Amino acid sequence: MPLFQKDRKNVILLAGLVLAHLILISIQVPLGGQISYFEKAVFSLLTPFGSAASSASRFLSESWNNYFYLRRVRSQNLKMRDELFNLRQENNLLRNLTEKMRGELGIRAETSRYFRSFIVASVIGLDLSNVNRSIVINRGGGDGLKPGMVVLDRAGQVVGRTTEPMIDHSSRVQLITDEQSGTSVFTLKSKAIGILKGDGQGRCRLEYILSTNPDVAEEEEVLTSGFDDVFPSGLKVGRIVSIVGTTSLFKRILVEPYFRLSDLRQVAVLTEDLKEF
Amino acid sequence: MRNTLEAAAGILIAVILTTLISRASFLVPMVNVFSWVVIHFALEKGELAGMLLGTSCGLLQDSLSLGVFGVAGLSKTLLGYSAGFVSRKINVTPFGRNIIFLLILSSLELALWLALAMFIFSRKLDTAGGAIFLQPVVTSLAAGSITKLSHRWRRIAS
Repeated sequence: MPLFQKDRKNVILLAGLVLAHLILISIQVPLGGQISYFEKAVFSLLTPFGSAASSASRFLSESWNNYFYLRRVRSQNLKMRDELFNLRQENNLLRNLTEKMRGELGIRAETSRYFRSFIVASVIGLDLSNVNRSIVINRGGGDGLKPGMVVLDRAGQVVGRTTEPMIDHSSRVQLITDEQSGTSVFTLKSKAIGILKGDGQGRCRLEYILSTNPDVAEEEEVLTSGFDDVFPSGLKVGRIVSIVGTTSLFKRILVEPYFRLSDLRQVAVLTEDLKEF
Repeated sequence: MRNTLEAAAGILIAVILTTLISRASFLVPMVNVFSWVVIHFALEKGELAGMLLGTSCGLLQDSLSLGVFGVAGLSKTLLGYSAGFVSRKINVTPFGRNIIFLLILSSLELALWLALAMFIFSRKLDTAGGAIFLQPVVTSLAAGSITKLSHRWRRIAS
């Protein structure tokens, strides 16, 4: 009898938990893209551990690499000393030449502006439901980030944009390969303007290119147009890998993004509008 | 108190392992460490611990993905409960039987998660080229091995 009662209690608790989950899921539907405080709280609790684990793993792998580097460092050092001497000479010549062409103040102002405009962040997690949807980075509101900021890879190619939940030192980045993302883009040669949407499988679809447009070709480069007021114009996004002409109004165009998820260790978050560049 | 500490340690290990695994993106669809922890605790402590830990781990998993919060929470709660309940009714101690039992359970959990996610998002989900269907195999082998090792460790310790 007590065993039966225990079973009953457990079943009631299970039913309660299932009901709580169903309510939790259903209240998010009218919220749309908004993030509940509960999810934000769980995210806040979780990311410090993820960040610590990521740092520890990076530290260990760097220490291991450094050990092997040290073994080769003496011969490299001698070689590099000679190279450094040559480069210094070359650098001095170039600096003199640059200063003649442009005022030193102008160069400094531009350089400092360029370096102020982004924050480097490490990737501390991938999306567990679909790796092509989002990533988690170790920079957040406390570092000056806001939702909707542009995220680039180390080669300056578009990765996505920051989104909620965002806490002091962690935030989520919606990738351009997410089905819910949308980026205004244009093709470099044919200048066709369209909307780039993720296919959720690591590639993107270029939409709203008319079937009658004869100029868009495979291997063409796709860049941001800046019309969406999120991504500054001229950033590299990817290249067209296939074009299928359909009977519908628009072509079916598949774009391979330039950024590689497997190489994404660090990203740059643009913290100011670079449209004037 | 000890059970709570053990559960907290289990969750912490799962979070750390998940972070480390996410450095190799191809492993992410196949490896779900949160499921390992839920199954292990459900087998060891029963359905109550299983479902509570299932809720915690599922919600943590949801917080690491962009989407509706609670989908993994629900599927893992049911996983934890059923693992604990069924293991109390039938003997799943032998390794081979345990693996088959866990394979069935984790396949059902994955099916439920996929069905819920597809129902909510109203579209076909990415299966990472079918890699996600290896998740029950990896989960059953890993959780079964953890349980076996823990039994052996306890026998040696006693």
